[in-house]
Amino acid sequence: MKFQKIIPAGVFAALVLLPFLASPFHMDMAIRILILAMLALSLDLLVGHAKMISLGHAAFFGIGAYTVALLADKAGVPPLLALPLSVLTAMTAAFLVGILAVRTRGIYFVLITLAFSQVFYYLIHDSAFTGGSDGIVLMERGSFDLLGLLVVNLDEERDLYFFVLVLTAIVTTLLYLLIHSPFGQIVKGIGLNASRLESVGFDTRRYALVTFVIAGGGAGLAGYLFALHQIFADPTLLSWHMSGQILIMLVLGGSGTLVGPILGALLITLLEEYLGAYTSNWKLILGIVLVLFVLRVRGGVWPWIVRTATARGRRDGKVQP
Amino acid sequence: MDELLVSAFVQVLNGFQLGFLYFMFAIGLSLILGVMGVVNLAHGSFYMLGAYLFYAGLQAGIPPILAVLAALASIVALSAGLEKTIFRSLRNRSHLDQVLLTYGLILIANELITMIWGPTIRSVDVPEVLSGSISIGFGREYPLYRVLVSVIGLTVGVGVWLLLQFTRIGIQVRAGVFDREMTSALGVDVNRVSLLVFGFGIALAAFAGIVAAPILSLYPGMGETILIPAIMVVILGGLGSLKGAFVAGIVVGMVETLGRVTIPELSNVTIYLVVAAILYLRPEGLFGARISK
Repeated sequence: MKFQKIIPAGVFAALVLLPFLASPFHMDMAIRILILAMLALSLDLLVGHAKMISLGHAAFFGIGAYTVALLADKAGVPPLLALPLSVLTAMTAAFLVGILAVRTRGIYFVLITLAFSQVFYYLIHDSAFTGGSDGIVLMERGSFDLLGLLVVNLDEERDLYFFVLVLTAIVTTLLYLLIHSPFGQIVKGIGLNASRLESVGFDTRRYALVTFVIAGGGAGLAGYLFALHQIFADPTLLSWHMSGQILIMLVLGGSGTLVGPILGALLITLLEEYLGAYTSNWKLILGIVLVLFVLRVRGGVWPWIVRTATARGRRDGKVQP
Repeated sequence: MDELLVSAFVQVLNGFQLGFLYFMFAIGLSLILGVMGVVNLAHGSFYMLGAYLFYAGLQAGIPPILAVLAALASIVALSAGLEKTIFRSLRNRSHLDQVLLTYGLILIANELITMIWGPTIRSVDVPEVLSGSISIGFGREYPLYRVLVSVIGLTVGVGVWLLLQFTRIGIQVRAGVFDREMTSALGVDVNRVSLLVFGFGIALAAFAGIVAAPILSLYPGMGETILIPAIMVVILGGLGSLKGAFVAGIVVGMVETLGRVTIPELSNVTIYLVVAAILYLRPEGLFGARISK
């Protein structure tokens, strides 16, 4: 039982203390992990709960990023004001894709989401307006006054970290509440048996569409933060390899859980940073891990930790079976 | 006016040539999905591998014909091994598992190619015998090899059609596409059919890579540039349908080529919008009998 209280408290303390201890390099990494965690969580609403496997989630991530970058570059809109617009454009794009995509199931859904993400990728990649393959640079992040108490200056790495941390925490909480709401039960029902749900009178397509749009909004917010973080947006954010990586994160971490996708974002980023520093062919290792994982392990790292911990607790007689 | 007409004609020829490449590649993708129920994202990796092995053979000074055969033979052997160790068990796994595992294979293939041949672009010369060009009137020449690509594609198409239509294994394959469980219940050795379909489909992908090598460039990741349009071909044509793959392959190749000339800014988008529009009207694709599970 202690385990269940100590760990969250430790994680919380580490997250708050991190910016006072970590080097700029690690700060940079921590911010990226938080953003990717939000992105993986938003996709897991589809993959882990509704069992709708989207291979085009990166499109909404990129659209969120490009919205803030374009607004700042073309219209001089301060990045902070662009936050709701980034979410909104990503949700609109998800709505447009969703209308068509939710008509299909299974493998068709995978392929159609992939197709549509390519449309957005090429629209942005081939257009001079969006800066082509070079992308768009964001000149500044801006700052705001928090209730007259303190000034949050996002161009400071530490302030940006807390900004991202708070938003990731909010999104995580909202997703938790959503999944445990009656709506979330229906979303899970779509994943378990959509035709049965339909036969008791639920319009599953509509629920699937709303879920798709919510997930798109989450990705849009993550994209907004990512553009802020790396102060530019480029087409690789929308590429299907990005979609593939998000999928890898949540599945390795543990799809269908709240901690899993976050853990997956952490693991993949660490793997990329440290293995990538050691060998330029780190993707070879990632590929081998992935193949072995699907063939032998399944289930993800977080479910494995939970299983091991409860099994040990049971053996020690602390947890009632 | 004549000049414009001839240019248009040249573009149509280019469209056919790209369409036939998509067609050859998509047959395997479509049949593996239809018969085995496996979505093979790594299909493009075999296309890439075919091109690179052919390149390596030529570099070693082997005559082109032998280089083609050697590349194909090694890829067929590789595919048989992969079918028995990995793809066979993927048949009963979720689409998510299939997507992840075959995506992992893409990462492995791209990195291995980079490690062996480096990240730079390689090119293959057209074999000397086929390097001429033919006159298409109005004093314009068109490379012989590019015509040959279409001829090869057409021959492959007819060959596969004959196989599917008139051989015992062809009937079993078509039955498998139609209803997997029933086919196996009727006593067809599904493992054998799936091994053959997989090996054959992969061989065709590799062959498409070999044929494309002299007209396109070789680089790690080249497989994905054909994979995604070919997925559109499969969706558009309908799962496991040869006729569908043929028509959709030509449509996709043509729209892409002509789009590049007429509206360059939107050339890459057009095809996806066309596919989306057709799917809205016919969710099962042009020639698909039904939406499979």
